[in-house]
Amino acid sequence: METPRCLIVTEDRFLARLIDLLMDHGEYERRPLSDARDAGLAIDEWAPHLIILDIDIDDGRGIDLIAMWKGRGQRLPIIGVTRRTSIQARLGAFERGIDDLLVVPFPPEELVARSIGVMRRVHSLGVTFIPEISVGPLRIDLLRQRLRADDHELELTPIEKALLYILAANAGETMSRDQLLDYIWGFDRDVGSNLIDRHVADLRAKLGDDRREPRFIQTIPGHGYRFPGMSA
Amino acid sequence: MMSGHDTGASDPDAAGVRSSTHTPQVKVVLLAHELLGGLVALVLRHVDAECRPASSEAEVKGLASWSPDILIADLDKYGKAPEWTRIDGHAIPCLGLTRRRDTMAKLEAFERGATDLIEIPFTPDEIVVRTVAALMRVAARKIAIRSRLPVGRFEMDVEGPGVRLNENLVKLTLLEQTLLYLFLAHPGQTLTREDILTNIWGSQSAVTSNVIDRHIRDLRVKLQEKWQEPRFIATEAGKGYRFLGEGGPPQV
Repeated sequence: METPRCLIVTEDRFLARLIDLLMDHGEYERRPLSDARDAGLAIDEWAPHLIILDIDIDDGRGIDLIAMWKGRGQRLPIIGVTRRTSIQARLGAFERGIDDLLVVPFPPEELVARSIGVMRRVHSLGVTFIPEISVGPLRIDLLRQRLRADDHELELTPIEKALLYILAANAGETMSRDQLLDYIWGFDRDVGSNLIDRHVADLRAKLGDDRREPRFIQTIPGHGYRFPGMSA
Repeated sequence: MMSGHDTGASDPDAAGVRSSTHTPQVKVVLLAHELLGGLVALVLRHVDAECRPASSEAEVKGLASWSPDILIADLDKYGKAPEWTRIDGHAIPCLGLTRRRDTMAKLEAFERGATDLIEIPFTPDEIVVRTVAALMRVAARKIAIRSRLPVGRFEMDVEGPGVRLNENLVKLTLLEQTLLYLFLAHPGQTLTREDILTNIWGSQSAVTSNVIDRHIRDLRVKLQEKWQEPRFIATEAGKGYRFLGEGGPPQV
């Protein structure tokens, strides 16, 4: 069976990289694009099996792409992502034929499960779920919510897991605390600005990371945090 | 799409009084603990839904003559519920609720036939959106949404985390809003912290009973409650909390 192809369409580079990393859990060939026209061409030339579309692109006009792309005849599942939380905006996407919709931020496993579920439903394609992926020298196990660093294994809380995914996906780039909060799912978001600092400290402690000479999460004074670019 | 058709507080249906001739827009079979079921049932009043409880396949089948539109099930308790959706010769959508965070559990639910999944804890708008979307996708139904729902002295707004009390808009966090729906769905009933945690947040949640206490305290402040003379939320020493005001629909 050919490797399923997944087109990722968003103008948000942090989100594009997060989705790209999450799709490692499903053995897809990926192509991230930020422009709707380029994506339209890629649908014709590359024939993706799945599209993950940020419906907020083009100042919200991304929603119009759903019906346009769905109308091309082929069975092309589209999973939408959006920051628009109004009920009407979300139902508008379903009315236009979107197969599923996630509001950003979402828990990492949510996109993984929903994309595999949609592939099975629409294409009857059994996409393999790969529970454990490598990020540099770390191994993240999405199924068991555990992380392997060097020789030891440790358990992650849902927020630590989300934090690790967004930082690792954007390795080499500094993300501010506010930016990080924008991508981390959590029900209780009214917890004050030290939420990120607190969870970074916990994660570092678990990783045995030295604050002065961190291997995994660097503090960039006045800016935020960075997962260093590293090779496995 | 029909949505946002707000009605005034004088609407007898909205106030929880249903005439005998009333036909609900959506008929829901609910498989869930009473606490969770009551919360879902109240939230689904925003789509003029009537909910009937069931706790087994036989009870779901027993509701066939009522012609339900959708089955909503706590999959952590009723994992096979998505297989019980063939009613009266045709399949109805199944919306699964789960506290489990693991991918395999979600994939299994889809494999069993769940139309969609909602992770617990959820926000009220998520229940509305996913129910309407499931009916749209599977049954090609268009469902009208009433954004504002008068319940007792409150007017709940599912579009935003706020509530109107005596014409004043009180801004709430999503968590406070969910708690208020929960209280309104269970007037006069003592809700223990443990019940709230187990059924609404789940044991894997990072939310602790202290968090519940803190948010209930915040909710009380916003509702201008006095400790000594609570109008809405009373503390039952050593037990939990009890809603004193007028509540929502009959319990499921």
